[in-house]
Amino acid sequence: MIIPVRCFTCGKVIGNKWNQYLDLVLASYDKKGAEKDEKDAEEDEITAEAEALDALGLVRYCCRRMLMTHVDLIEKLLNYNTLGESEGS
Amino acid sequence: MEDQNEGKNKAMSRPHLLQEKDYSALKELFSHHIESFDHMVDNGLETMLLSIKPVEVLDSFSKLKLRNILFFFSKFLSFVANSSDWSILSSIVYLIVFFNLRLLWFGKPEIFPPQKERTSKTMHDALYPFECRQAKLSYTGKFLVDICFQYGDGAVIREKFNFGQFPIMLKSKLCHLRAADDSKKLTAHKEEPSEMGGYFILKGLERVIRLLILPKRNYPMSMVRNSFRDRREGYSDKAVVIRCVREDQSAVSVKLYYLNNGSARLGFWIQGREYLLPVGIILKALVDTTDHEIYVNLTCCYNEEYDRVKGSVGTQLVGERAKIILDEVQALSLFTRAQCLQHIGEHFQPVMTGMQSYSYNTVADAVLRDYIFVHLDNNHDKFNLLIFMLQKLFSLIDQTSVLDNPDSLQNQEVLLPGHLITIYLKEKLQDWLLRLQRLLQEETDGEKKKFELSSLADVKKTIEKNAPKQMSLAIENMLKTGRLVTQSGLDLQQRAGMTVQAERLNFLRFLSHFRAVHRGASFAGLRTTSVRKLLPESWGFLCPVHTPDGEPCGLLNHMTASCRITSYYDSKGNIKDFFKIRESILRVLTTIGMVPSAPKLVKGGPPEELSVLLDGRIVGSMRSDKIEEAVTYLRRLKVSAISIPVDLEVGYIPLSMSGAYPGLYLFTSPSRFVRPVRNISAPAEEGNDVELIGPFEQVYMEISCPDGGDGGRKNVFPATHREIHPTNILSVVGNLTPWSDHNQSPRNMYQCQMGKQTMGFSSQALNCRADQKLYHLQTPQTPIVRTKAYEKYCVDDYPLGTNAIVAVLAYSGYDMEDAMVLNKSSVDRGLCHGHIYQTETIDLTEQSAKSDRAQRVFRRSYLDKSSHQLIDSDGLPYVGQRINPHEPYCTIYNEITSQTTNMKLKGSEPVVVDYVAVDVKNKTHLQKANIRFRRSRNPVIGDKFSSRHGQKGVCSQLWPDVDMPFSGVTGMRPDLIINPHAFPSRMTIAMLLESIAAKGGALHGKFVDATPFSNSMKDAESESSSLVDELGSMLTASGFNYHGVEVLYSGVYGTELTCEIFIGPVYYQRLRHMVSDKFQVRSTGTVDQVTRQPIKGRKRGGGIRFGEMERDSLLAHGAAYLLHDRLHTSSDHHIADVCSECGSILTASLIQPPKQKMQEEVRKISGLPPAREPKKVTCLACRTSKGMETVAMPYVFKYLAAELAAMNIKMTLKLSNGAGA
Repeated sequence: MIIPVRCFTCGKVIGNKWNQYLDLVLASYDKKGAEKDEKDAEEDEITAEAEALDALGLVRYCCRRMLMTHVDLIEKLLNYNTLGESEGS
Repeated sequence: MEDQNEGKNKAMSRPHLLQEKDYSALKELFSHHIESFDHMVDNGLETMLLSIKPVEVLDSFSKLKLRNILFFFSKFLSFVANSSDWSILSSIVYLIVFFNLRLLWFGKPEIFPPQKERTSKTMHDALYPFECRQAKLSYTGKFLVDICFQYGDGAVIREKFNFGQFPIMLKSKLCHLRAADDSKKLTAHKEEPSEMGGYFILKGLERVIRLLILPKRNYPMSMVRNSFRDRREGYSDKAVVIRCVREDQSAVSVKLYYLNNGSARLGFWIQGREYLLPVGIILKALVDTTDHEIYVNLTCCYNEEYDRVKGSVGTQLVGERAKIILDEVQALSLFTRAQCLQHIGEHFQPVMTGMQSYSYNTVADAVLRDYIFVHLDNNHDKFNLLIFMLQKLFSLIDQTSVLDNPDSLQNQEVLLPGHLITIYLKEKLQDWLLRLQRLLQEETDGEKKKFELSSLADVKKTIEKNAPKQMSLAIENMLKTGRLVTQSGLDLQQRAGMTVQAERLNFLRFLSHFRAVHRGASFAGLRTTSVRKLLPESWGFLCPVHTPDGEPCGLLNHMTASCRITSYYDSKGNIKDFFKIRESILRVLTTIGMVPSAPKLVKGGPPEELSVLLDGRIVGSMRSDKIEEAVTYLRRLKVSAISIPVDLEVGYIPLSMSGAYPGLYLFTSPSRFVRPVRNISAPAEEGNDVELIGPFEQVYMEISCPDGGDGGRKNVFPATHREIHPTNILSVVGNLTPWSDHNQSPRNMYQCQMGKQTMGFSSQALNCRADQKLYHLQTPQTPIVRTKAYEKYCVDDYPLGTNAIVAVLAYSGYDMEDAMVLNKSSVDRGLCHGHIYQTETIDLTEQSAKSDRAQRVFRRSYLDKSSHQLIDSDGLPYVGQRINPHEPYCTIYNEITSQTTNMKLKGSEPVVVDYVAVDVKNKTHLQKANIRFRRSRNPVIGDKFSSRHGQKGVCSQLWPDVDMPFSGVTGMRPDLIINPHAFPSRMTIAMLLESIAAKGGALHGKFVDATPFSNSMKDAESESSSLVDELGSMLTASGFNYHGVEVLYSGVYGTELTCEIFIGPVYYQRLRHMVSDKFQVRSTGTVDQVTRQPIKGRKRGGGIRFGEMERDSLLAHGAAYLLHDRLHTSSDHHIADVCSECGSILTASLIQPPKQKMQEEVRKISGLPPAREPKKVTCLACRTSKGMETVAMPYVFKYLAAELAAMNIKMTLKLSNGAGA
């Protein structure tokens, strides 16, 4: 739902890295976007995720999977929270 | 703007972050439910209503005789109200006009979208599904039906009548959600972003109509049943059975029995009784024909030239049998058609309701029309079909063809929700109309002259009296209970269990309810297992993996992900016009060499000519040498969808030596299974080569599966078709198991079961629902290793597990026998945390009687301040409040008795109030409230977990982080330890692969595709590297061991473990079976009132029975004292007073000694506790307390004595002092 504060396995704090991670993934995707068409078939290409995780200094695969596999469902749940909208309008 | 852009980009890199997902694949899985309901609304109901026979009421005062019968066509054009884009509906209505009789029949039905009840008539607020769920309402719309009247041959009068509130399927044409086509609009309506619909909401519960297997419609099937012998003397066990289905989906089965003397009988059911007629009579009654014609027609399948040649079905016995059939009719001295009709009419007049006053000919016509081959409307077609069935029957007897297997999918279709409702409603309306007729007749004939048949107002009053609203209620009840209340049985095998609740335990379970196909409740009781067998015919249609083990095994199957069901809608969403479709198919057929059947035309028999059946009608015959070519041509047209529907089933049964009965069977009908395959025989033009095939044709097709081999086909039978992907044989749930092709097959079946019991993220619209119980995982993750289906069906919207770091080693000793050790610290950091949301609905109107309405309200007691910290002034709990067991969570005030009652929390664990919702319809008093509790379900010892490979285990210990083994390089401790013994016998190699792949995937930031059989789909060039090589090299690239092992150190001793440990992330599911819901303990507690033994039942704090077998084992151990303790001391130990004089335990009575006040006072003053009175007991029978003794005994013994006394049996005890006795 919301990203856990710490990596389940090793206890490294990762809760503060989610937003950075998203931005990094996005940025490296934008950068790669143009190149991607050319080296589409290439297998050994470093993925956007891997780049972002490396940049955040997440080395162990336990912490990497925390960010990589997190499903940020809270964003979806907030769509149902119409209270804020009605106050604003 | 920015948001959108971001979402789009995110989407491309990380599919599970996609804002606008493509749910079309998911929606397609549910389409058969919705399309069938849509068709019912669009067209089905009207067709059904028009097929209900009109009734008539005769005014006996003006006894004018019937003069004229006219049939005429009339075309009604009517605009459907409220919708501009709907086309003009045209309907054909048959009117039977009599003089001085009045007719009643049904006209156009109308169902309106659900609306809220309002007092003011001008206001119409749409009622949305989420409101129904929360307020426990039914999602229903107004159902109006035109009833047409006609006085004599006067003008037709149409009147609308309200037939109540009709349940409406979600996402159907009448549902408000239909317009909400994207997820944003759906979330605005408080639905899931992927809401698929297909179910009904009844009193807040979501229910689905179960898909049932039925015999294939309009296909004559040869069968052997021992019960056929018991029909009457002389019957054999063989018959040809056809299930005929009318345009309105109601079905009538007709059986053609073979008699041992060579003749045949046609059996059909009228009102719960089977009637058997000699075929000869029916043949003659159907058309004007001669004995010679019948003989020639029957024997056309036999030709001496082709006797015992491949494909010949006739023998010379056919001619003799034909003679017997004709002789039978002659013996009854029926020679002409008129005589036969007369004969039939005479016999059936008493059983045909409402036909008593008609001529025999009309009755006979009605019998032939309404009960024999009802899918055909032409007597010539019926005649031809009967001849065909006779030939098939005779060939079965002569063993020139084999039986059709009714258990094979080849001869089956499915019962769709819309069709079930239609046929059920038809029966209900028919009954209603007959009841109305009786009522009107009674009123007209009645002595009281109040009622005037000619006055429309009077008639309308009577109609209203006949409770038309009950019709919708009957449908609602059927959906609610799943029970059909019918007289005729609707030609269905079962009457109960038609619907099931669509549980939202998790997404997979919910989805499976719509893909499940049930074989029928009647088969569950069968002792034979043949119906449960997985047959090759169901390849690609039913999933071989996804069936439960245990009782419903093989009966409850699931459709494969690619399997669809044909409907009344074509791909563009237009209603198919079957009449036109058949016409165009016929045109195509005649161009490719079919000789159309015509009256008096005699065809050839099987070896040289084959019959062509289109939806159970013999349309002609074709030369058998040309037919193969024709079939290929038809298939080519089918693929390109030129003048032939894409889902036409071209069932060509070729000639064979006593195989299945040959012929070309074409089916266009709805509710057949179809699935896509590639047609590789046609020249690849326009790129579209996907053909929809059905199970009937599949058996005779050559479809190659890209599994690396040629399927033993060699070059003898070249493949004409090709599977799109080998995973097309798997269901959605079966498709989600990664690399299921590397697992032992039963493990995949277990995973299909366990995937549906997983605690996951069950609903995104959590806040807008009021489910009784909802399981919820706090921080679910998406699997690193996943199949293509995972993304296709958007399972990420409802993730089901966590990627746990799993080490495979025997460590603490707590991982034996499928137990697993969890890392306590991981759990503390949130691994597998979960909740149960439980909603309590309190409806005050429901609980109180109708007379004292609104006398109970939610209100806190002013006097009792103790509950004030738990309950707010409105009588409801504070949101976020923690409530302990036996504490009140809401207070109800009774205004009449001015008493307050507290609703107290049951159970043994504290809960948190998550949400309180109230119904504000009644502005002054709250009458309805939903209180949602949250129960914490964080992992504890005894909870069940499972990987995706059928490897389930129970948490046996939450081991502290410091004592876990750790890696010397990374310092990581595993989240979870499982025992290596879990692998050798279960052979779940895919789990090992998953561990390696997920480790590599996490290191490389890649999601790994684990679609089964994908290596067989690869091109030959990339064949060089095996799967293991691919995964291993990923690990070595990151500096890990190729085989996925790591050096670990003992957490206790700090020494290096002697072998390297296999460790990596595996997607683990938390199963819903948790100790907190199951544990049962008791020390002392409540006892039974009568026996004084401890009670049973977990809820009531009861104990677990120490039964006979437990007793036996203690006896065997000689543990007598323990046994005595369990069965007596800890149970109903009792010290009874027994009178040794009379031996009775019932007559003992306590004497109240006179109080010695003086002594009492003295003791009180001196501060001593009151002295215990010596107990004085006396025997009432002996009137003395001399022989009173105390004996320890089980209390039930005393109860037994009392029970015996009630039966006038006296029980006497003989007391002795120990050893002597």
